[in-house]
Amino acid sequence: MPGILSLALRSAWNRRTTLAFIVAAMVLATILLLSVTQARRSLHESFSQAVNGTDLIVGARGSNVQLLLYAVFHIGDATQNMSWASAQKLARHPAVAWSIPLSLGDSHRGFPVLATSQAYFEHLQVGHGELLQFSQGRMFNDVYDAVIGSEVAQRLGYAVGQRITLTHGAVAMPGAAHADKPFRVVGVLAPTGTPVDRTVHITLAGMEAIHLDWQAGAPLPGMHISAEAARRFDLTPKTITAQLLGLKRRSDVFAMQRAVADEAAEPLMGVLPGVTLDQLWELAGRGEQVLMGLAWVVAVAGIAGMVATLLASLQARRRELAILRAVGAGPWEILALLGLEGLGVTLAGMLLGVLLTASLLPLMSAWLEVHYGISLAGLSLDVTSVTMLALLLAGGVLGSLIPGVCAWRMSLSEGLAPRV
Amino acid sequence: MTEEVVIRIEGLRFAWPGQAQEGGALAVPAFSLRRGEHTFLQGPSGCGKSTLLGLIAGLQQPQAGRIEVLGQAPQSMAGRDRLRAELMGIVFQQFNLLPYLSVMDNVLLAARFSTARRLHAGADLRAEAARLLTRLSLAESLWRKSALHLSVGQQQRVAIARALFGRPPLVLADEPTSALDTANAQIFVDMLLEEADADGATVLMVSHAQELAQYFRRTLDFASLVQGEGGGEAACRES
Repeated sequence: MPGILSLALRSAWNRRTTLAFIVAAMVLATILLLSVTQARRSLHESFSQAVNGTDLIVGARGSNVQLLLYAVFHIGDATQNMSWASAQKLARHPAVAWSIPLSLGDSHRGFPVLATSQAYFEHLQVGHGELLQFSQGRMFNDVYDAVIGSEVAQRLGYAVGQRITLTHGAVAMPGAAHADKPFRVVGVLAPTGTPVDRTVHITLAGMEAIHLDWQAGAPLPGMHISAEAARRFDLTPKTITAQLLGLKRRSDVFAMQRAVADEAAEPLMGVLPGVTLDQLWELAGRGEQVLMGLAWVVAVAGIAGMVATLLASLQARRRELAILRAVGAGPWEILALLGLEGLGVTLAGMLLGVLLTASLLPLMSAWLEVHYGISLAGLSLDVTSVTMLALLLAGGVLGSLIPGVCAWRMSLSEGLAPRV
Repeated sequence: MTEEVVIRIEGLRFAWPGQAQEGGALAVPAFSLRRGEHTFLQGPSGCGKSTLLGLIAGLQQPQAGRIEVLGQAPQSMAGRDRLRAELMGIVFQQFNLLPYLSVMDNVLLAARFSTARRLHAGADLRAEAARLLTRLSLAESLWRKSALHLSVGQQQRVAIARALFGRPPLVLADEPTSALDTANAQIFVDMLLEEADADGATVLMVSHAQELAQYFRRTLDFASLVQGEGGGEAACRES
């Protein structure tokens, strides 16, 4: 058998151009299958890490997926606001351990601005239950203090002391700048792999201050309040976007959800982040299935191409097989010769595919990070990926058995000289 | 006495699948080949000469009768494959060499599937291959080259070297000169028989080229050997 292996290698090398194309097809199939699975996994992981530790997200009644996406991930359409009074009332509820107010709407050079309280730094859990860490500076204190996420700092080259101006709305529009009230960066957060990294954090009072002389999304004509003058106003917010709640006992979560829904002053809802994420994945599931399906179609096409090419080459290799038969190779060795070639081509394609995926994932991750603030973990061969690779290999082995069996049958029926 | 008989055929009957109905079956009532008795089997093409060689080589199993090579007639395919690997060298009409192996490796191919051939070739397989190639007038500069760079005449001589490598007792040659011109065909047959004698192999060569018969100790007419089902010409397949 080792004799057959080295012959198979040399024979394959002799036909390397043809085989290179089969390998390329297998590489593509592997890359597609792996990257779809890996992207899906790390997307799910990075989303659930961002809501780890939060028991309930409270906001105006509406779509719970929309609330989760907007309040936590700053993706999608803005939700209705809820009143500060209701938020205060819920925060004082006996079952609540901590509450974090969230107020969104402005941006800084494409990065979302989030107004919140100091509770954010004391209670928000990221990753596997860790609190936020500062890589530089401290949390905000003054009305015009800002704390930026690691990616904001890195991409814009900011450090503590940097002065920044905020823009009204998520997209920069001319005349919508809050240029009159600049903020000062007082802290930079350590990387978390969550939306926190792409966020500019300011105080609720700061958010209030920059909108004092604004109404309905535009500056009030003829009215201007300077940054210093604004300090003398009552900067308590009237409304916020949403509120994150942490409970003393997790088991109280459904009772708390009911309490939120029963709030008489306004229609509110409390959503469970885990459940809502599951709903989101169910929504996205169809798309994921389509992508997976496409990846499998490419894989099947790759294997079919390999079988077709090996079968076609069989005709041209009849003399080669006749010579091997003449020097004593048995039909099983002829089968092995063809089968090993298919197996080798499949393995080479898969190996290259895995290596390429490992080097492409960081590039994909960088692109996703810039455009969607989602980062992908590096290639990790988890159960799903390994199962898929095993299936692909099994497909390749079964596929290469077809020309192998054909060659086996041919060598049984062929005489001394091939009947061409 | 028995060991002096290299091939013994008795009551052989064979037909390719679907061929029996057409009356084109091959039948050889009796044939034997003694050691050293180089035999020229002459007949027109398409009469089943190659089929007979294939049967002797053990590539097919006859429907009836018995084929013994040095007294052995294994029934299993694996047994016949081993017998062929160990006892026989085979030379085809042309395209004897694997294009992806060097001339040297093509000769060594004979030892790849047989321990007996390796043992008979001695401790240094390459030296033995080199000895055969030299005796067949193939210059050392050619040994590392791909078989594709050789002329047809040179290729056929490499085929002799492979057929004789590891001293098999039987060499089957199937129209080995049909791709050669007359001069080269004579050189080929000369060398084949000379080296076979030197290495103790017996040659059974089938060909339609009558002029080569003179070099052999024994000449047989294929038509007298076989009995076609319908008699005479029916034994010949259309080629």
